[in-house]
Amino acid sequence: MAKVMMKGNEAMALAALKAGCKAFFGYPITPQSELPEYLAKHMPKYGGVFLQAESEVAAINMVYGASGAGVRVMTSSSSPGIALKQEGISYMAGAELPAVIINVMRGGPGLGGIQPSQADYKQITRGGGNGDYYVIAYAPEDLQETVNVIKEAFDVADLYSNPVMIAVDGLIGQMMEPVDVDMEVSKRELPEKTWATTGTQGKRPPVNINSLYLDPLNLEKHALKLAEKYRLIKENEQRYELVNMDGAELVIVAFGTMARIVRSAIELLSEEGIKVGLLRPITIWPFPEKAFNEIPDSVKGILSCELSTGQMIDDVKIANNGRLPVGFFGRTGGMLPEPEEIVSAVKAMLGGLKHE
Amino acid sequence: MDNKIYIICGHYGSGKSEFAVNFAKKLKQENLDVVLADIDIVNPYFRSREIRLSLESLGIDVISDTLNSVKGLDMPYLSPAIRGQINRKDRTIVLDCGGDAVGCRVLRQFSEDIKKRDYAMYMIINVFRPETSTIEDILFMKDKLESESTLKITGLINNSNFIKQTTIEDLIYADTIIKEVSKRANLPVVYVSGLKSLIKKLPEDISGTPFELELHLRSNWL
Repeated sequence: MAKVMMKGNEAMALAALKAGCKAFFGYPITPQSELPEYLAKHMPKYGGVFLQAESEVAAINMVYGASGAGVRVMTSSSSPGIALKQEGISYMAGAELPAVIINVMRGGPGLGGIQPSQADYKQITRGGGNGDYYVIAYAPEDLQETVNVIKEAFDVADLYSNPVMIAVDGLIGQMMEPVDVDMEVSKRELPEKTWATTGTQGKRPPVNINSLYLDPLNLEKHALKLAEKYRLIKENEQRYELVNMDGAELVIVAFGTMARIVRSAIELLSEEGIKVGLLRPITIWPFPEKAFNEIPDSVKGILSCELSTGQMIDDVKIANNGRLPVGFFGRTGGMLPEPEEIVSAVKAMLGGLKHE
Repeated sequence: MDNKIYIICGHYGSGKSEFAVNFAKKLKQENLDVVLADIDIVNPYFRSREIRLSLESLGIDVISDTLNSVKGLDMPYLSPAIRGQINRKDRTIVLDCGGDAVGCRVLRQFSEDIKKRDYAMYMIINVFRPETSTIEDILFMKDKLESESTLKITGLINNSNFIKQTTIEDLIYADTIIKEVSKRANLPVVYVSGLKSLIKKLPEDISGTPFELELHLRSNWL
């Protein structure tokens, strides 16, 4: 398939099919409903199963079941629906089951609104459910990158036997963009799923998929094993993009739709002779701490720009480790800033820094 | 142009709302009394009601739901004022439909009123959308739009695009497909639409009157 025009939700669904996803369980919610709608129509052609569950909770437990049987499986929802799925996601992390979960974020808390938001950042990057665990989370900024990371996410989920989340906002779900769904992405060397409940054929002992460890010593062992896995993921899977860093006076940290607005702001600022760089996390967990080592000495401060009241800023501060002053600019509730608002925030921060 | 009803329909994501908004502005420039009815109850993003205030400042009335919402309302209902406007023979009304057949189903409740007036029903086509990329797919979509609305499409609009990445070659390629659809369905290609930079460079033998689009619903930074 050559380049085509697709809506984000359609492109994400097609990317999953191209990645060999053979089962989808979900429940509709704006602004991601076109995604299950597309799969309802197209999944049968790919020999897979589409099922609209009776609720988000049912859907994520169906994902648990399919994943346990060794099948490539996905679910999708938007913020309040993802909140409902957290129990199942925690169980999957505990049972070490791979799956891809797409979160097309909308404003919150609670039912919130239906316009784009990044206010699920903490829920996504801190695990989200109970217990010592993380989900690997990609936060792409355009449809081509979204399609590419979804295709890779199925491999990454299988490689680490852990849920992977695709964190986009409603705008990425709803917007049209040219996209090539067959673009090559890097493939991982994947272990065989010897743990999957595919039937013993009388040739091996039964396998057991479970997150219950009543003996605390065993549970501690299990938690430490997971912790070692998460250490490896932090080591190997941080992904980011650095833009316009050479000689920058200030660096903006932003992901997803916000990063796109920031790109326009950076252009406007450079027309005025103000040099600003962009540090764009592509994984928000693991957070790209390594990228902060590449911030040049010319930089006097860091501005965290988010579609929330400030959630990523804590990770920015941890990664910055006290080196530079950290400021914040955000819009929330489904509001998107104009690039000029970011220009003003940058000027205000640079002005303040000069007076210090 | 006379006062009539213009219905803008097509596959979802084909560019209906951007066209409808530009078309309403063009009609207004011709000194017509224009009302734009956003009857998209399928999708709550990128709808023409989002720019209601700026259209109203140009003298174009915008109706959608009874709450006069701009953004964010996700409720599948229409303002009763729409039926009243459809029956106003002294006004020009542009109906901006939701996508696909399901978007056209909304028209059925108005179809008897619409048929009493002079109406044009334009099908917006982007051949780079996977589900309207072949002659057969487009004809199939056309039949579905007509059967759901119980109205007849009267013209085709070649709005094929990759947004800012569209080339002249893309539009010429799209023209070969849409020309064939036009022949088989016995429908004229009314307009070929695209961004200003492109429309200026179109070859003369391309089907449809060139129509310049300014993007109103998609932000500059996107």
